[in-house]
Amino acid sequence: MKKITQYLYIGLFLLMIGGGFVLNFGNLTEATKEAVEEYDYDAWSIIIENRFNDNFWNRYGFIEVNGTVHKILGQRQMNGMVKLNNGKLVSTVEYRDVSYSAQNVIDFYAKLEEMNVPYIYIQAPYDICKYDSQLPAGIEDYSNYNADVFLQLLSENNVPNMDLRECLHEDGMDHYDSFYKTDHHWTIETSFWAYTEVVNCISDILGEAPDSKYLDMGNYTKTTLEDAVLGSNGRKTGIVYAGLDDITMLVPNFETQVDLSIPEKDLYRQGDFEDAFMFYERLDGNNLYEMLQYNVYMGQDYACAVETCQNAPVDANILLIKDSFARPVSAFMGTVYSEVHCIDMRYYEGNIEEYIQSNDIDIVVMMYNPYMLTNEGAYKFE
Amino acid sequence: MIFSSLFFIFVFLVVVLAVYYALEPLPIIFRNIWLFLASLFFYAWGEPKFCLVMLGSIGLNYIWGLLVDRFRDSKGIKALLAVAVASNLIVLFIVKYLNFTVSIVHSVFGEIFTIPQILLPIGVSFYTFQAISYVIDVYRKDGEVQKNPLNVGLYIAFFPQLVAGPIVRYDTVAKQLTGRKETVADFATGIERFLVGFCKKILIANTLAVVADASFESARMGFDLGADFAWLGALAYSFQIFFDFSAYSDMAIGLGKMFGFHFNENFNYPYVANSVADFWRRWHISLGSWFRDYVYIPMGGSRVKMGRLVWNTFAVWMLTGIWHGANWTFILWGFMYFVLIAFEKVTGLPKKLKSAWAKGIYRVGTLLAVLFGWIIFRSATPGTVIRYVKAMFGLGQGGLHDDRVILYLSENWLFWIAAILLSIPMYAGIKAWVAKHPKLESVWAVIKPFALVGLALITVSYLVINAYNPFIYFNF
Repeated sequence: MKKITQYLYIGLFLLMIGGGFVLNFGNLTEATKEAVEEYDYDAWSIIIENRFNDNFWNRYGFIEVNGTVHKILGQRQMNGMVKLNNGKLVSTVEYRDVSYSAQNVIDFYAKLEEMNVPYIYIQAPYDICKYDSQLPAGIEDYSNYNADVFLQLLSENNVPNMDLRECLHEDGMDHYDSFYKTDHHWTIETSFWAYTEVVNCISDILGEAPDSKYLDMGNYTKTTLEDAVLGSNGRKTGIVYAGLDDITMLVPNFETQVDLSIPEKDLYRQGDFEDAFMFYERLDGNNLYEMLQYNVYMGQDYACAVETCQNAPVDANILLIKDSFARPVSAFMGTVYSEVHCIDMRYYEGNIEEYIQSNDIDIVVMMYNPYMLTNEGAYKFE
Repeated sequence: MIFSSLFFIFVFLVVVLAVYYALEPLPIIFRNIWLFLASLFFYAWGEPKFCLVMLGSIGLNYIWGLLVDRFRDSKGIKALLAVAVASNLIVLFIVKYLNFTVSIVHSVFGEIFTIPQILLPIGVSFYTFQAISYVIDVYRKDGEVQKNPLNVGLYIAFFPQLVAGPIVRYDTVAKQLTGRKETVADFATGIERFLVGFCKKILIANTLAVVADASFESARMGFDLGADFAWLGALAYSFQIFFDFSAYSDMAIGLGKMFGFHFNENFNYPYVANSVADFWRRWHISLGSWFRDYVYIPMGGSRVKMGRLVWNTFAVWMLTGIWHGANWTFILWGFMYFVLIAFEKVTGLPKKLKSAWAKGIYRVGTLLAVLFGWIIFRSATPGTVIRYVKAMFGLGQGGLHDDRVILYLSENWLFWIAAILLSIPMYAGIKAWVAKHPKLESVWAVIKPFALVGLALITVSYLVINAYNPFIYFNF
């Protein structure tokens, strides 16, 4: 090996590992501190390594490098994500035995019947279309299959349910235009469409409907930000590989007087729709990688959030058992009903029956996307 | 800790190198103390309790070394040597094979007693064989006995070869322990070798591991597995294990050079072998030569009657199989190689082949045998082996075609090409060609370090995104 090669190797290598050490020194210190604070001496090395890896210097820069390599090589799978034929990023779901979750819902419905509280299960769509998966050959996804089996079990046991996947299909909406391409969530406009479907469904059950202005998108101001969204799927692959999405926000033109109360966060917001439900700081364009822009509605998932509307057209208390798909939906619902109680079973630890009784709930709406079927804990109501 | 991790590269290695070279002006003992302590930390990182087993092995073999050296000319030296080797093998048996043995006893006689589940200390097979090498080499005077236990400790525990080899024999490094000299040239070639191994492991082995895992998991779970994908999966595993294992050896050899140690090569393009015996002269050379020199030759080697030759071969290959893990599949794998090697020894067929066609056909047959061997090696149970092989011939429930073939070929086309090209001695040819063109050689001398370090930085991005990074040496 020539002398120049030797010195270049030594110089470049020491620069790489030494530079990496210096730039990650703070990360290393924090990781070590975290391991010490955990007091889990059997797992200290795992804690340090995981923390060190997760906070590696310029993490998103490296993700972009990796995404660029994947893009150049035409790879359709990266970091747990699959790029569909139409360019959308998705994560596939494995086959699940959903009978346990279905039985829990069936039992829950039986209890609600005893309590004389109506119930409906609403199946939100997954970002992979049931009728056109767009998956590359060789990759399978069971999200819709799991949901089909689940809904069939509910129907066989007379549990009221509504399948928004079918509604979307029947309404002739383009499935993939209804979702962000870099995120697993539906767009805000699709959320609004879902909100109208949910309100119509509740109206049928309660026999009381709001004025049509609440359900007409024409009465909402549309604001579109271009290339402003890097969804949770896109953050795993980087912008070069995934691209960016636009986001269109809808805010009512009519007068609203609403409150948002989140006891666990000691958070209380009131005013009009925007004051209470919109978290515009989530749209920090300089921080695309860290912010989940979809969270502009309601901020994030909470174990329990209560929306109160002073000028609600329908005097009803709704319990919405929800996942993140229902967050914008719940914000729109917050202008229609006197109270909307949003419970996220992934985080909520209280007794749901007691909650229903103590809050005079008029109807329980449960709205999950198919991915939730991978989390049995979200279907436990005791 | 594994080499292919961010923590190893950007923390552990930096600190170890910095302190090591800061101690350079001092006598070598200080650098050895530091390397020994660093090696203990490296080993304890995963499971501190396992360190006790290793320290016990070091202490035990330090004493055996002294005793063997002291009583080398005594009558009972053979017995002493046998006890020394047996003590190492007993420890290995307890931690690695006792649970398996008990499960066999239970399957035959029912559950007559229970023992606690024993966790396998990582790398125990490697360092136990090194420890045995120390005692035997001292006896054979192939290396000086170490009066200082630290040197025995460093020989056994030295982190570059601790968890995945190569099995460094004592005679190879005896003098280097106390008399090595670190040089700029060694350091630079060590860096190059380490980076080559690092990129091979992450880019090729880990990428093809996804393909192999998908196919073998289908067979294990009884899912659909098309014939074409079964073949592709077997091929992917053949490349995965080669690029994984040889990459670890590259990194170990490179790291050794950074600290002034010179280890022997462990791989020599095994997939260009022209016979099964030739394959084993090229694959995991340190293990093959260990068995040759410490088991096969002491048993009489090849210069014995045919029956004895077959028995010696049987013993070595069954031990080779069992060394890789306590599982019927490893025993089956070892037995397969016994049959193939014994066939070649008895018939002498590879040497009798004269025409290029015949040699070519035999070479293909050798590769197919190796590939089927890997199916046995990779499968968790003999049942999975049968399901897998049936699938390869379209007799499984997946039929002949599986869409995953197109997916994994189109996804990873570059890595397949790289795997094939790097499996043949192409680089040496390119190097020789470049050497004939001085101008090109001068340019290449400058470009090469930038290219390799650049590739290493891309490889780091795979670690940052937590891409699949399996560690396949837990059994060893």
